[in-house]
Amino acid sequence: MDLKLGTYLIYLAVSIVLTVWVARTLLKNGQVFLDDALTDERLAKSVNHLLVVGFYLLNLGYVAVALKIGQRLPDGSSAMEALAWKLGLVLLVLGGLHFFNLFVLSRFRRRRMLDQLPPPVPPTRMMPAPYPPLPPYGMSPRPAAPHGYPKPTSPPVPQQAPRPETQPDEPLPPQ
Amino acid sequence: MITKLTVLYDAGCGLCRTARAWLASRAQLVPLEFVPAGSDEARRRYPALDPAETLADITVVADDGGIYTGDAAWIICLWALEGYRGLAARLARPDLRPTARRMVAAAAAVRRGTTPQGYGADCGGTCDV
Repeated sequence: MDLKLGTYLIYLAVSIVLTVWVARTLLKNGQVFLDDALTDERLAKSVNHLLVVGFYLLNLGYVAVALKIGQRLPDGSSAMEALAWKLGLVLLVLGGLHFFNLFVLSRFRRRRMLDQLPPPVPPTRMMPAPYPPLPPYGMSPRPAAPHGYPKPTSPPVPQQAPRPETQPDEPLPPQ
Repeated sequence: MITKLTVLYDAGCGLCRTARAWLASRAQLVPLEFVPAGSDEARRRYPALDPAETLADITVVADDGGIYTGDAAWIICLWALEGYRGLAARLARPDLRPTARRMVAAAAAVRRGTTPQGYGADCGGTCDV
């Protein structure tokens, strides 16, 4: 195994481990942030997964594209320099993507907080309240059973006999 | 909780009509309704408001009974629009409120200059400023 292949293998291994570590950190800590930003927990979970998938694609894609080392590596120190340069670039890209991710999430959050913002200024004055409705005329209703008195009862209504129908054979009074 | 805002604007002034058209063309988080100030509809809805006062200065009535005039009226209108809430919150801060007041005063001066003399009240849009 020559020096270049060894450099490639170390580069790939370190880059992938770093990418997975950052992605897991994002997945774990971004969830709390997204729950607050999106209110809907299912939506937050879905957005979080999609963001992490996008992060994996972008970062692993960049690692693959930037793999090639054009210069010759005659000794260990030049291989180390090339490896450090490549890994440094990967770390910078990871950092950039991380802050971009935070920026997008904070935009979500800010938007939701603005949607719930109460009016920023107090009213200059309030509409005068309409007049209360007038109390009804007449005396207030009597309490049902005043303390110490027997409950008022209504006098018995005399049973009235049904009025007899006028007899047809009764003579009419004289006009 | 405000769920509707009624804007009493001066239908007789070009600047006010332009402002009304701009407000109406934006997406609204809280619905805005426009009623010409001093009209029969405005009198019927708000008998407690003085029509001369509402003609002199933009007046916004919230459905919770709050009345906003002058720069507060503009800020509450911006707050009702989608995408302008951040601006409304910034303008309401104590360090930017005087700037908002001056902007409203400048707009009122333009309005006074473009409407016939003796129209509206003497303060013509700057009663609160």
